[in-house]
Amino acid sequence: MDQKSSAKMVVYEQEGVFIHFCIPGSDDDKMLGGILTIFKDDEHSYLQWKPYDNIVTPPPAEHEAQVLSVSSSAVVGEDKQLDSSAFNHEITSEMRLPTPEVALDPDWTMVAKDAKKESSTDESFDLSMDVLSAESQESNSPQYTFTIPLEDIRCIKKSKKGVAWAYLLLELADGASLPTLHFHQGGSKKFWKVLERYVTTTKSLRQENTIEITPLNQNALTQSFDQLNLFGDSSFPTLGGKFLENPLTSTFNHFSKVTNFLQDFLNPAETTPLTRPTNERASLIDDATEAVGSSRIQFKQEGEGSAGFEVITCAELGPRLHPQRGKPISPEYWTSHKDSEGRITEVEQIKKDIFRGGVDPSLRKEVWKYLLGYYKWEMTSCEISELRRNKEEDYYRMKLQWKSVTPDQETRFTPLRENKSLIDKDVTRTDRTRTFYEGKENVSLKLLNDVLVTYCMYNFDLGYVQGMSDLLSPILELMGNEVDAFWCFVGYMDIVQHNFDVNQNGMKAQLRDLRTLIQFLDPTFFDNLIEKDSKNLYFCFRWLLLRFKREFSFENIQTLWEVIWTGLPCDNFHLLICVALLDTEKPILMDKDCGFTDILKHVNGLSGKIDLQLTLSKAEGIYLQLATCQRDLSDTVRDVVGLSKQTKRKQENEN
Amino acid sequence: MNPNNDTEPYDYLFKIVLIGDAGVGKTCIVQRFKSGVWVESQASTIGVDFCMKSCEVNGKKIKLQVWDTAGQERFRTITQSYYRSANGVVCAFDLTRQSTFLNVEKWMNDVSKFCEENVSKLLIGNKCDLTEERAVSREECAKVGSYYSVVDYIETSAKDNTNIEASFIKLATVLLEKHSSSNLQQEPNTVFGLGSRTKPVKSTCC
Repeated sequence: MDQKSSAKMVVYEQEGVFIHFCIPGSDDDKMLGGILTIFKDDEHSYLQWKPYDNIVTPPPAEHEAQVLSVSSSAVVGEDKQLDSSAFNHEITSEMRLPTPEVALDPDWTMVAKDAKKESSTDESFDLSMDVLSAESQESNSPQYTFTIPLEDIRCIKKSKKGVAWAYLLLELADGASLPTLHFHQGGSKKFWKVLERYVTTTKSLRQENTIEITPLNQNALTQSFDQLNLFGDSSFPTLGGKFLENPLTSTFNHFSKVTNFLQDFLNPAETTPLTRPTNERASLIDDATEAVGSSRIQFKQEGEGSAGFEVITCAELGPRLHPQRGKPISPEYWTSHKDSEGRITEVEQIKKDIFRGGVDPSLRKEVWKYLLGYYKWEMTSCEISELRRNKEEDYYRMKLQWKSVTPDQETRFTPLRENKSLIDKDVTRTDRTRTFYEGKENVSLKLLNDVLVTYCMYNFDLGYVQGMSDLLSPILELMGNEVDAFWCFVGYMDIVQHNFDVNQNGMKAQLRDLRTLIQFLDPTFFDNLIEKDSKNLYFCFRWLLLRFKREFSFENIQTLWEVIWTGLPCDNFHLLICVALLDTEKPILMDKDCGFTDILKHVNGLSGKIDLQLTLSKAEGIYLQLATCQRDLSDTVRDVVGLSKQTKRKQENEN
Repeated sequence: MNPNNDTEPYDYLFKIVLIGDAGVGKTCIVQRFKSGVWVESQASTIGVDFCMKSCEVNGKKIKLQVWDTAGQERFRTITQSYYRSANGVVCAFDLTRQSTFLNVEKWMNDVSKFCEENVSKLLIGNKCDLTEERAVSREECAKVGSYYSVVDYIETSAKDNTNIEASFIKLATVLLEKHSSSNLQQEPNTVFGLGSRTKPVKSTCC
C-alpha cells in the first residue's frame, strides 16, 4: 500500500518530550513524559502529545466537557471499540469525517473550526486536554493527551541557546497556551523541519525567540470544491448539494479515480496506525519529504540566534484528477437555452458545458459568433439582425478603403504594399490540402486574402503577421462568408493579438508564465530543461503563437479552440494545455540523449499525433491540483492561473 | 533517443542557419535538400524548424544540421537566439522580389551581431527559374555578396532543383577546410544547439 497517501500519516515522532506542571495543592513540579507526534490526514495536519502510560494526576472533571479532539485506542494500537455516545455530544453531524457506510475508525474524528473556537476557554490548559481515549475511559484515568490542528498554533516561543534541553512554548490562535514541551531527549530541530512543511514560519519582530505560524493550506478541500463547481458542474451534476449534506462522502465519490488515496482511508484495516515500528518511521518521513518535490522546498538560513534553523516553505500538490470529458452541446440543448426572443440564457452553464465537451459541428457556425464576442449573448434575434447589418456595412467600408488604392498609389504606400505582399505569400500556403482551400483558382483563397487585408485596415498598427492566416482559416471555412469570418476573426484577435506584438512581448510573457508553471509543477522536468538549454521553451513557440492550430486535425482544433474560448477555468488554460502536453511527452524529452535540438524536433513532430481529449482532461486535472492548494502557491503561479482573485475573495469572506 | 533515425557515424557536424525574408523559399530549399521534394504550398515556418542531412565532402562524412527560421521581421527576436554557435549561415532572397534582396543588408547585420565572427556565409538568390520576373541582376547580387564577404553567391531554384545541393556542399566544403585546417575536430555534443557556450561576438567589419 502506498503509505504516502494513507489517511493518517505520522510525519514526526519524538519520544522523551516532557511537560512540567504544578499539581494543585502540591509544591512539587511534576514532569510527565510522552511522545510528540505530527501527523496528517488528507487535509489537516495535527500536533499531538501523548503521555507515557503512567499518569500523575487526573485533571479536574470539568475538563471533560471541553474536549478538543479525539485521539484513540487505535492510536495506541488497541482495537477496543469506543462507545460513540461518549463523544458524540460535542461533535455535530457535519463535523464527522467518516460516514457510517465507510466504517472508519469510530474514534477518528475531525474537528470543525467553529467547534474548536467554541470549546476554547480562557483557561489555558483545559483547551488542550483530551480525556476521551478508550484506554482512559476504561482505566478511569484520563490522560493529558492533546491534539491540535497545526493551523491553530499562532506562535512558538523557543528556548534560548545554552539551556540543558530545548523547550517550546506553543501559543494558540485564540490566545491559549499549551504546556511547555521539554525535549529531554532532543529532537526539536527535526520538529521544526517537519513543522515547516505544513505551516509557514516567520521570525517574530515583536518577541524574541518567537516564531509566528501561519497556515499554509487552510480549507484546501473547500477551495478545491469551489474550483470544481466553477466549471465542472456538468460532470459533477449533483456535487454541490451532496457536498453540503455530506462533504466527505461526496468528495470521495467524485474523486473515485484517486483510488490509492482512498483505499487507505476507507479501509480501517489498512489505516496506518499512528504508532509504528521505529524502522518504519524514518522511511515515512523520507517519503513525505520526497513527495514534496525538489524545487518546491526552499531552504532559507535564518539569522543569528538560531544557527542551523531552516525554514522550509513548500507546497504539496495533491493527487491529480482526471476529469471526464463530456459530449458536445447538441442543437436541442442550444435551442432550449434560447428565450422566445432569441436571447441566450444560462450563459455560464453553457460555457461550462462547452468547456466540458465542445460544440456539435452543426452548431458551430452560430455558437462561435457568441464565443468570439461577435454576437452578444443577451441580444435578441432582432438585435442580432441589426448588428449584422451594421457589421456588414462596416466590413465593406473597410474593404473598400484598401480596394480603392490604385497600383500607382500603392507604390508610395509601403506599409500597405508590404502587408499585402506578405498576406499574398501566406494565403497561397495556408491549409491548401483542405478541400475548401485547394486548387489554384479557388475563391476561398480570395476570401482569405480579403479578410486579412481588411483586418490590416481595421488594425493597421498591428498589420499582418505570419500566423494570422492559420488562425483565420478554420473560422472562414466554417462561416463560409467574409463578413462573419471577419468579425469572428476580430474577436479571436482581441484574445490573441499580443501573440503578434512587434516586440514579441506577448509571446515572451506567455513563455515566461509557462516556465513558471513548469517550474512549480514539475521541478525535475524543469531542471532537465535547464540542463538541455531549453529553459526558454522556444520549442513551444508554435503551440502558443497559433494556439495549437498546427498540432491538431481540423476537427480537433475546432473543439480545442471552443474550449479555450470559454475562458474556463482561467484565461491561461492554453498554458495548462502546454503543461499537459509536455507532461505526456516528458518520458521522451527527459531521455538523457535528448538534447536541445531533439526536444525541438520531437515537439515539432507531434503535429497530428496528440490525443485531444486526454490532453484537455490532463490540463484540467493540473488546474484542479493547483486550485486545491492555491494558498500554497506563490503569487506568480496564482496570477498565471487566475487564482489570485479567488483567493482574495475567499479571504475576504472569511474575514 | 536518437531522433534523427540515422546513427551513421560522421566526421564533422556543422550547424547552418537559413535566414531571409518571408516567402523567399527557405523551407522549400531545406525540403529539396533534405528529401529531394518540392512542396508547392509549404506552410509558413513558425518559430524555427530544423533538419539533418548527411553528405560527403573530400572523403569526409559531414552532417549538416540546417535550421530553418521564420522570415518575418517580427520574429527576429526569437530566431536570433538560434544564430549563436552557428558554423554557417545561408542568407536567401527571392530573385523576383527586389525588397527581399534589399533586406539582405538587414540580415547580414543580424549575422554580424549575433553570429560568431568567423561564421561562413553563403548568399542565395532563389527562384531563378522565374527568369521573366527577375528583379535583380546577377552582378548586383554578386557585388552585395562580396561586400559581405560571403563564401559564394549562388542562384538557385528549389522548384527546379537547381543548385540546391551544390549550395550546401559548397558551404560544407568551406567549413570543412576551415575546421580541418584549424585542426578542430568537431564533437557532436559541442558544436550545435543553443547548448554551445560560445558567446556571440560582435563583428566590427562591414
